[in-house]
Amino acid sequence: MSQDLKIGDKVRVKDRPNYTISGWTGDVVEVKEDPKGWIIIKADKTGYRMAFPESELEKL
Amino acid sequence: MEMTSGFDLCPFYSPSLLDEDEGKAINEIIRQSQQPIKDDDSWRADSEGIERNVFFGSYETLLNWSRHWSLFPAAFGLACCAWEMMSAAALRFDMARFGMEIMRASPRQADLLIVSGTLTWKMAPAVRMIWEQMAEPKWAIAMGSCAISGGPFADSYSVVPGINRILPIDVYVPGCPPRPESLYYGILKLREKIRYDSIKRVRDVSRS
Repeated sequence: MSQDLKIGDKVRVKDRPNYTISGWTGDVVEVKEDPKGWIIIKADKTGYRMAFPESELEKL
Repeated sequence: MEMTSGFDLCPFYSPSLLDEDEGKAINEIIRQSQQPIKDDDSWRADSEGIERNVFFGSYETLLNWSRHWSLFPAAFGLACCAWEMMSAAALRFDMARFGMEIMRASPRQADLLIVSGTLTWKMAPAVRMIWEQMAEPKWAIAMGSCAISGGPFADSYSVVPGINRILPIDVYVPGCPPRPESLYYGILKLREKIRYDSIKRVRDVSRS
C-alpha cells in the first residue's frame, strides 16, 4: 500500500466509480505524520490544496 | 384458482425448521459458554512492561493531543458549501477518521464552527450568537469564497464581506465551493494548530 510519496512527487487521483475528480493530478506538498498516511497535494486544475489518504493516490 | 399458503412458497423455512435451527444455535452457544472468558490482564504494568504503560509529557501536550483528536463541529450550514461539508461528514469521505463525526446540534456541545457559505447581514446576529454560546476552547473555519471574503457577493448590500468581521477565524478554506478534500486540508491544518497551541493563550475577542 505504501508508495513512499515525497514532497514534489507528481500524483494522480485513482479512478473510482462516480468520483468526479478521478484522474486529477497534482504535486505533493506535504506528507502528514499526524494523522499518518495523509497526503496534501496542490491540484493542478484549481491550485488549491487538498488532503487525500495515500491509498487514493498513485505516483506518476 | 388454487390457494397456496406461505409455507408452500417457502418450504425450507417452515416454522418447525426455524425453531429447530434456533434450538441448534442456542445449544451451540450453551456448549461454547460453559467456562467464563478469561479476563485480559495484559494492561497491567509489571516490571517488564512498565515502559509500555507509562509515558511522560507535559499537561499541555496531553490536553492538546486529546483536543485535536476530538473536535465536535456544530451542525450549521449556510449555503451551498454546506452540502460539501455534509458530504465530507458522510460515508465516502468519513470525517469520523479524525474523531469528529458527531455534528452537535447545540452550540453548547460544539467546539468547532464551520462557517460554510454566504453569510448575510440578516443572518450575522444569529451566527455571532451561536459563536458566543460555544464554550472555550473553540475554533472556527471559514469555508468557501463567500465566507472568506463575500465571494461574488462581496459588494452586495446584504452580504457580509468576510466572516472574520463577525468572529475570529482560525483556518480559511478557499474554493467555490471547496471539495471535501479541501475541507479536510483545512481540518488537518486546524488540528495542527490545536496540537501546537498553548494553554496560556487567551483569544482576543475585543471588538471596536
